[in-house]
Amino acid sequence: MKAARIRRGERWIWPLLAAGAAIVAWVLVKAFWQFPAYILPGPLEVLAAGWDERERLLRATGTTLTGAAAGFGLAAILGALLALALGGSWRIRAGLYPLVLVLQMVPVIVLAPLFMIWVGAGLPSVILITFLIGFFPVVAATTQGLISTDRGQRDLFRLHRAAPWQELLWLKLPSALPWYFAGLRVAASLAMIGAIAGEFFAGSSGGGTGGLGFLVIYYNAQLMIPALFAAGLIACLTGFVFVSLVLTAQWLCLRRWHESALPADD
Amino acid sequence: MVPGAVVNDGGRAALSIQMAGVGKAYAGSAVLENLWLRVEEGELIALVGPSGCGKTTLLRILAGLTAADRGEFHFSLTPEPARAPRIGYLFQEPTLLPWLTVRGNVELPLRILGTKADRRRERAAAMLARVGLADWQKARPRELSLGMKMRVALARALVVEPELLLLDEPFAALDEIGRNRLNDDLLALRRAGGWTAFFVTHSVAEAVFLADRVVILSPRRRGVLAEVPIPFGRNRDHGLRREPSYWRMVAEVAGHLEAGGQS
Repeated sequence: MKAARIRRGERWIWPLLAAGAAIVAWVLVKAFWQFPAYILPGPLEVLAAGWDERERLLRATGTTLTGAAAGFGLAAILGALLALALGGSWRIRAGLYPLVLVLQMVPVIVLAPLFMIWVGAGLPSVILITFLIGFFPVVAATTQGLISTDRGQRDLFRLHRAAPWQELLWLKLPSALPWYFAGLRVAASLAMIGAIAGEFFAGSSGGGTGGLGFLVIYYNAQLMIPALFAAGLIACLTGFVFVSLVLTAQWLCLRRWHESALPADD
Repeated sequence: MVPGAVVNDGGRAALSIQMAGVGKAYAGSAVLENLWLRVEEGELIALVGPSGCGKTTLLRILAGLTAADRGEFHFSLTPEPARAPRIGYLFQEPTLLPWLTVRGNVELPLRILGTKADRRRERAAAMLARVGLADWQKARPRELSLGMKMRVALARALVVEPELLLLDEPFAALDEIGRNRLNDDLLALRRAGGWTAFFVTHSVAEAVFLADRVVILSPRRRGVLAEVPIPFGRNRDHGLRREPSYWRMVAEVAGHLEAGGQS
């Protein structure tokens, strides 16, 4: 028990130490080569620029977050549904999986202009791009989970002549849940990136509602490099929160039984 | 036929089985080819034999998990000949569902069969008490030792009140004390249960201790090599392990097994 308490403390110490070391390295690199702010701003310059631009950044973050959350939500729901179909029959799997894969392989910069034509620039395109980026990890992981059910446990259901819906509801879905969360975790970490990339390629600044992706273009054009850094930092932090939410949901669902949610004991 | 075998308290249905020329091949190579066996009501058959002689395959065929390629087998249930027997199966692994509580796991077969919730809970709790886990109903499988998990699996197999119990080397991974204790409990449960059973094991001592009859399967014959009736009746208990007659019986069965390996 003593070891467990030490570890709980350590869980915070190590990431904080690493972050501190990164900031120190940042300052040292800047000081050593004496970079001007438009090449490499220091931490304080970035914070100051972020404060000056706070209104614009805040509004942009809200816009990006909307796109990211909507795209991620769509990926989480539609990804699970498609995985159910794929996991249900190997024929569907054999037929559809290559198509899903092809869709995943098409670069965003090819899709972005198409989406702009189809659904219009701005939020709809951003949502669609974010969805596409998060969709595949969810489908791939969940499908794998649905077809990886323990053979002995399946035999148990077959022994008692369980109906397919019973096997799905009481065996396949619960045992695929950790896999689903693994997919969601990847999708969540890609959601902010997807939304910003979406805004970069297919965003709209109409009515001052451009997201972080739009601000990145703007700051870059204005050579407001410290503000550009601030935008990047905010994107990181927001993405972090996004992933934390998924991790929390995962912990709530799996803490009673799954190895991944149990305290480490090495 | 077997001393004391046709005892069936509680008015349960009793099952006898006839197997005629049952065969099964995997990828073109026969595991079982021509198996003939008659099992009496309430009889416990121990299946022994080297790996690959079709012991597990036979259990799977009886359970309806694998279809036989040839031959046929027939269940006769008295006094309800029209009904299919209820089957309990104890696999080599506990195969518990980790997200369910211990009681949830025991309730699962009843849930599949559509038993009402309160009745389900009652029967699962009673069955858990029978296997000595009354205080563990709310625990998750990961909190249990392997022996306890096997007890949960045993309770889950018995909760449907089976007429046929299939046990596939269920206690092989346990240490000897744990295994002996579970075997003692199995004998006690059997006196109350009245089920017909197959017990697959690699241990001749375990087979003789539990069974009314030891059936030795041979991979070369792809069927029954020898049958040895065990004359200790159904009221035996752990004291049997100290009887010289028990060890003579173990030696006799082991002799058959070795002879089969040489022929």
